[in-house]
Amino acid sequence: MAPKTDRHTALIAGALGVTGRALVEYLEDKPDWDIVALSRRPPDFPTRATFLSVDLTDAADCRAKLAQHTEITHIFYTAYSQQPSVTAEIPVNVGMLANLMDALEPAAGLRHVQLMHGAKWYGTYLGSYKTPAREDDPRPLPVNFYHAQQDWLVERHAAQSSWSWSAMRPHGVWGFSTGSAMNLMTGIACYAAISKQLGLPLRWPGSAGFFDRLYQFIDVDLLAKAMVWTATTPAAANEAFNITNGDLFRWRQMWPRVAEFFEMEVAEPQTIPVAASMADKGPQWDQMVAEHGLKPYALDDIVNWAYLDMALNNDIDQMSSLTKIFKAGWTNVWDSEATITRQLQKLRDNKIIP
Amino acid sequence: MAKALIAGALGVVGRALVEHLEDDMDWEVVGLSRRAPDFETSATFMSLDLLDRATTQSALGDISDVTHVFFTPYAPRESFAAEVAPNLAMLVNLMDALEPAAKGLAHVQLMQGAKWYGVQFGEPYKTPAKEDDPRHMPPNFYYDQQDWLVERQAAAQRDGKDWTWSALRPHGVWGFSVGSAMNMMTSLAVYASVSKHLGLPLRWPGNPALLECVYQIVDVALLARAMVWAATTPTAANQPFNITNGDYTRWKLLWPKLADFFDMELGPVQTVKTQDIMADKEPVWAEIAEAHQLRKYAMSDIVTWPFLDYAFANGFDQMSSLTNLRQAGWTEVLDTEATVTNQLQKLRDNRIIP
Repeated sequence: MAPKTDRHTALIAGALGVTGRALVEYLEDKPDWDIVALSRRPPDFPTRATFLSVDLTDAADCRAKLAQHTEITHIFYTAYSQQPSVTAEIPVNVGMLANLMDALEPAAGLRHVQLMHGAKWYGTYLGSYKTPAREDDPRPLPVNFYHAQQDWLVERHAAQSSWSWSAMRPHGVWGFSTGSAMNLMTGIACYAAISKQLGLPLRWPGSAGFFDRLYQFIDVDLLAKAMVWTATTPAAANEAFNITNGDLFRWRQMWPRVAEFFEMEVAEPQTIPVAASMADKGPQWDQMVAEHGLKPYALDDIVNWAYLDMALNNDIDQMSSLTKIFKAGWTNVWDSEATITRQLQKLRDNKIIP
Repeated sequence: MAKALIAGALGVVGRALVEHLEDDMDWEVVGLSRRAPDFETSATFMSLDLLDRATTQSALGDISDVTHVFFTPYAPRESFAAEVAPNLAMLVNLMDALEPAAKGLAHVQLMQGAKWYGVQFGEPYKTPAKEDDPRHMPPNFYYDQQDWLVERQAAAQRDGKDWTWSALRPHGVWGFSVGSAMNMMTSLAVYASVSKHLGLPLRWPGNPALLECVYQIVDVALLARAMVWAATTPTAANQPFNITNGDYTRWKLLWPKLADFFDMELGPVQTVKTQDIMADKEPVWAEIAEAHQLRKYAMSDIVTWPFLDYAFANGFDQMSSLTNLRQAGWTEVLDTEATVTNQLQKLRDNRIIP
């Protein structure tokens, strides 16, 4: 067994979201990492991670279940509580982080706390924003919970010297999850599979303008690697970093790759209200699950159609500058065309989609 | 010891490569140019017109120790079709003269550019452009040169020779040169200096749409490093690579940096043909040079107005994918906003501009 100092214990908050789940998988094979995973739900896959069901909005529950975990060295905070408004999200999401930190920070071995943010930092959800977005660009109005969390953590960090912090700002996270608030991939995959089942060609359901705009992804497995790299690389400490696959594309170029994967014809874009149009497709999905021997997930478990409506209708270039993370020493670039197919194939191999 | 033969050694790229290699103890440098260098250099310069086959044969036929050929010359002609013959002839003449004698030849590198992808047609092309995107409708002398070199390599291999080739496709090369066919930076610097001298604000002279489009440049010093890297890295052999600073920008983000550098007010957009409005400014430049004790370059020596007009007329995104280059192991990235100012500062330090 490696000496104590070489061992790491990750605490992953939000361990069943798209990002947390990929991080669990990534660390699963790393013998020098132990994993404590927090989620309200139990895992739906076999894992050596210790899963704890903790309500992060409940300070007492956090203390009761986490205070004894003094072995934690790295906190990866990927939890997100969706609320009716950007403003309403702030107190809840800062409060969850504070509850976690209050319970865990007494752990003397704590070395790093990492926040999982995203391009919403730059106001992507508001409309036009400056691109390529850089980490030090002036913040948009209104403030969102990312800003509030980071400010809170920076202040907390200033009061001590034993741990460092970082924040990741990925965009277009491409990977599998169930029941999480934001998942583009499962949405597109199920949209395509259902279209095929109905004998329809694959039509771009988002806005015509967005089809031609610049977009970016990150393969969630690359994101997991980047999270650990950032959390353990001294040159990256106490900074926020954009992270993507490192390339850019337009959906017009990528869409045929999706069609090839599902062996479908591509037809002209047809903009539809996705959530409204897919609301009645649950029974059809159940039928497809039976027909193709898929894992018995309900459609609503794996897709948040409202997120697709938001993500596929921005008629603006969406670009994050990776200059900062490359200069800090990150060297990985993945080809998005390969990423898209690779992750869809994983879904198929795992019997999530036909 | 490696010996570089740099053809086109006084162009913006060749000149930077001479500067990069001349202080490197591992390299000996031979520069080919029709002109004599206007700067002190430890490189051996040979005055040679590569279009003159007989002279090229006699000048290069006895050089047996060249290991790396960097081929950067460009013979502009009145049409794309007319460019093919002379630009191919220069490469053929050089190789025919050099290759039989150069027993230690290890690598031949071509200098291409985003014109490979059709940026020169002034209409949108597929972006981000990848090295293996389908070619545009020929003619394009880059295609003829590369195809010829690939065939030549195959023939050489049959003769037991084992040199490799590469081709670099930079875009927006940003650096200094005198009397070369394409130089955006010096042209812009002179345009700004003349505007300032005349009491004018810095007005954007290009297509207003280009201000908003995605753009990219490559610092010529980085390009020189990439050339040597591609010519000496086995994983990079026998393929073309896009090369830029590794980030993207928009002219609307860069233009204020230029105004800051020259301490000028930003004016409104005023689209002009610089080759027309700057045609009578030679005496103004002479005044500026006198007043600021600049080196005695005529304006026409350092600017290429038609090239600036061509480059600034394009109202569409110009983007090269660096994914292949990064996956081959290239890790450098430069911040373009910083590059712009750094290279201008070098011009000022060298008393080329006020």
